[in-house]
Amino acid sequence: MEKNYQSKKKTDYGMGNSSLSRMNTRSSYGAERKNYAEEPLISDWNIDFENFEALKRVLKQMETSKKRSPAGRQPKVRCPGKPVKKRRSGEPPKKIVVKCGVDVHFDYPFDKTAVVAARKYAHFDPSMLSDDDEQDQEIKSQKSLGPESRKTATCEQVMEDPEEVVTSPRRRQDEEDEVSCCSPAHLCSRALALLLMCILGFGSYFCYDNPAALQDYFKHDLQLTTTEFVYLYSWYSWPNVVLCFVGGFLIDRVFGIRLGTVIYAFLVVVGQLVFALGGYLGKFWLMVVGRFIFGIGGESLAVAQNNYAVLWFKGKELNMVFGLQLSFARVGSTVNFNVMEPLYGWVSHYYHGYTCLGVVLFIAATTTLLSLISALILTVLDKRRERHIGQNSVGGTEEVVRLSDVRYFPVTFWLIAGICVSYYLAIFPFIALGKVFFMRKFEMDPKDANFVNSLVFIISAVASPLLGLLVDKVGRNAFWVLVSVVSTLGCHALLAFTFLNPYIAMVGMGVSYSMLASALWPMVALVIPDHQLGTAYGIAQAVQNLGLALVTMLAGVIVDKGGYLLLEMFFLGWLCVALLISILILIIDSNGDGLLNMSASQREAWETQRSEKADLEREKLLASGAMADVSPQDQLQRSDFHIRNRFLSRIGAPLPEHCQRGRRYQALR
Amino acid sequence: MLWLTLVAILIIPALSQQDPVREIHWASNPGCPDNFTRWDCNETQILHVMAKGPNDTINYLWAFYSKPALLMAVTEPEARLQIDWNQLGNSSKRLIRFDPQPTYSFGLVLDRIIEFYDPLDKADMTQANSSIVWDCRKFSWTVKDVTSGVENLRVELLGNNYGNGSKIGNVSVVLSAFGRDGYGPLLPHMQHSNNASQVEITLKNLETSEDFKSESRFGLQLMVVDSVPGEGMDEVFHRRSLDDEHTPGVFDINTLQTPEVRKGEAGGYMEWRPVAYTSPVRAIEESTSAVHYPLRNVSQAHLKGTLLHDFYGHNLAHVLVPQSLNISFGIAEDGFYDATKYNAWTFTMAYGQPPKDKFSLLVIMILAVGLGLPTVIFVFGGTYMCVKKCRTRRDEPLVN
Repeated sequence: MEKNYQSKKKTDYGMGNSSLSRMNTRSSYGAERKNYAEEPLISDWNIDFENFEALKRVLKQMETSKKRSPAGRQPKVRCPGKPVKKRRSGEPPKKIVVKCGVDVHFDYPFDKTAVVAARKYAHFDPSMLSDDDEQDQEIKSQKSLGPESRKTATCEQVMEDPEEVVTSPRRRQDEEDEVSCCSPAHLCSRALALLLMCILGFGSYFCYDNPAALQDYFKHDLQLTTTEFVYLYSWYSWPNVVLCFVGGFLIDRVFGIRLGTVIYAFLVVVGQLVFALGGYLGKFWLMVVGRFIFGIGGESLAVAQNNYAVLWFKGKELNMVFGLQLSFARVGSTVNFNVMEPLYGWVSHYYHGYTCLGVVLFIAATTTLLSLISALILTVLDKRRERHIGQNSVGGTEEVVRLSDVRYFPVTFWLIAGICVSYYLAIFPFIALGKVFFMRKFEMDPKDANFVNSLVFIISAVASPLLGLLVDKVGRNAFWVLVSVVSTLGCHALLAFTFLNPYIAMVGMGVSYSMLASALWPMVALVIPDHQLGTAYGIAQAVQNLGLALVTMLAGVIVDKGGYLLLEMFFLGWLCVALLISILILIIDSNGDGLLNMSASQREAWETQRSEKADLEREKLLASGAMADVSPQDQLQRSDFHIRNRFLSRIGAPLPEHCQRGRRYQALR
Repeated sequence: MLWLTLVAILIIPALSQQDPVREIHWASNPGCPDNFTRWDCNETQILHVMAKGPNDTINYLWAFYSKPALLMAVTEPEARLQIDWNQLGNSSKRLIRFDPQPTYSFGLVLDRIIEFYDPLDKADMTQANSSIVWDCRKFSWTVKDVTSGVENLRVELLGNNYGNGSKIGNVSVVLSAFGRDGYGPLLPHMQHSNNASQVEITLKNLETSEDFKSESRFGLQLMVVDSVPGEGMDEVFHRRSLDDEHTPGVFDINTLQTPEVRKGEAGGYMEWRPVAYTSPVRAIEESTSAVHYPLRNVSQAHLKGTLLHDFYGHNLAHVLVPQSLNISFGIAEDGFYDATKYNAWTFTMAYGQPPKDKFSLLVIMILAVGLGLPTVIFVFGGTYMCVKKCRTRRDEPLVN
């Protein structure tokens, strides 16, 4: 079993479910498995079929493609027809669209197709299919399952386990031997995707700060008061307290990542165009509407961007990718601040007043167009990648995401979201008020104060990818989060309790901020399954938006009433909360599975150990065949373990310690 | 435990370091004779405020005839004040005495208001093109309100009708005496001891000179003198405080020290934050700078007819060293005085040593809880984890 191709887990999930309907054929199925294990098993695919005809078609296709492909290569098989649709809860069962996961095992050379097909017929009892969906639901909740059915479910899972455990890195390695430069698995293709992902966010970050960069012109050309000017930001941020949560959920549930990204990128373009049009016509209300649309798109686009990153780079580079995305966002706003004013100066030769402003904003809209284009290209790339790897996209059609799933998010996720709020509260509102603080406390002139204030962002643009790389190499995300919280605490304390040159504190803060950003966000992907990532990132971002919106207002009041010392105390307080939470994460994590704080080498060591074990176990299981000696207790454990494992293997993360032990015990037996 | 001790170390001194409370008594025109014709004795010309402590009394004499003048004299608890009302302001003799003599005294006169032309927008009085002097003697000063409690007293003084109506605008001075440690009720919330008085000077709606084209700024000239012969004050001492909790956004404190204070002994001092407010609604965005200039020795002639002259007499000319301190209000690009037509500035005038900064209880609590709680959880969580790991390690051989 050198080459062990398989379609990804989501299809498996359907497989496992539909197996329920085949209870009566189980024994013969197991026996067949045994037979196959004795022969050299070349390939092992899980494929969904619309109907029996499709199965036949596939088998035929396999033969033909095999003939075309050079010897020794595996024929590539895709599921024909539409993807299998899932019935939403509450709707009456649809008879036509049924799901029938079918194992196709066949040997090499290919002449035993008939046997394979014959075996499949045994599973293909159409009378079983009608209630398939209901049983689906049952297994999903994992609650109403009786011991009998659970046993059935796990019988197959146990057999699947070893296959699933083979994780993507390994497979990627196999593939890289034979893929060309243009293959989705190749480095250059992934680098291109990364670039596109970065550009994806560039437009919205560039345009987000357009008003700030042109603040004086806005106020002058449109005769705005400061309060009115602030509307341009508040109408962006307030709706997003709710909307980016919804946006993330929509990615998971309705649009899927690719369509979702394109839609959000499109919204960004539309929003910016409306905004610019409002400026061109001198209609302030239209500009606010534009900002509102822009906001809906922008924040959800950030969620989509995170999702894409996880989808493409989960494994070893994720931290760095997050860092790189962050740094590109910073580059976006920095470029904006440096370019917009000269641009306005240039345009003002030809246009005047708000018309000029409108034209400048139209020009700025080209960056959002760039983002839209990169979203489209990314769609193509992602399709190819999926075709190649056979992995469904995040939020694919297989697993139904419900908002109520949020209840089952692990406590570590909520703690991570807690850090997202409490830590960022000590950074962004501080920078919003930082300039005057440096001028007053450290007696800097406005220019220097501005520079010191922007140090955090400048540094994060450079340091984020590097620190991300560091976290990738070293692992131990939770530890790095703790470190960066503590060092930020130190930097804020320096600013609060000393007159030490603020450059020191701000450089420190910039580095810690970058470290945190590249270590924290990937942690979400470690604790949340892929298909819920959109929702999860949406929640984290929504909570963060809410916190930022409230606290930015509050911070101004604190400065007025209690001065900068109290403001610093306020930030220190939030950092203490972040510290508390990160300690809790460390404790809870090491108490549980240690997933978030595993070093890279530990992870690797475990990886090898796990796949060896998996192979061993697989052989054992296949050899033993019958399930008679497996007690219900074992099944129960394994069922939990299976789910955990399924999700861990997806992210290439090590298994929890107690599971390892459980596994060892099982293998020894 | 460590944190509890630390908290205790930080909080207990903060609570226990309270100075004893002084009782405030006051009298308007003490000893004003019934048949006195020069002024109406019902209209306050001299206010005698006594802050009585167990060992000594701090006497504040606030006089509103001529230029407003403030005198602070430290005497024995039972010292008596004698004023020769008939000659007040017209003699070079000592007309105001304490019996027994004060151990220390410190006086201040609001001498002039200076309007300066600032076309270059430097907000620097020394670089002004030209200036106009408003002599404080030419205002008519009236006490508007006196509010008193056991531990404090507040007097509102209004100077208007400059030169019999030749100029519009008024100067309001709010004088407070405190018998207990604390902070001023309004921004900049100056910290004060129980030996302190506070002065708030507000320049309201002053008519700026037409020649200055609405590019005027205002400043004050104060005269200070203390009872120690021959030395005069040190330069204004500038220090920075970490704590802007009471004066948001202002980290600086300026102190005009007498030599005694510098030596660490009890003496008179003036303390202010370099901030002035441009609106009755005092807030950080309604603030501007209060710039001070080097001290200058001045002749006693400036003080003629004032309370200080009546108190120190000839000594003022021969032994003591009267000095002037100039303050100006405004920073570049604030639109000059005419933008708001309002400048309010506050300083304390006190005896003893300037109060030390201390972090408020709130700050200490945030630090203690914010850092204490994670530490506690870290320690307990860590211990729990260790214990648990040790146990499982011990369990394993048993299972095998």
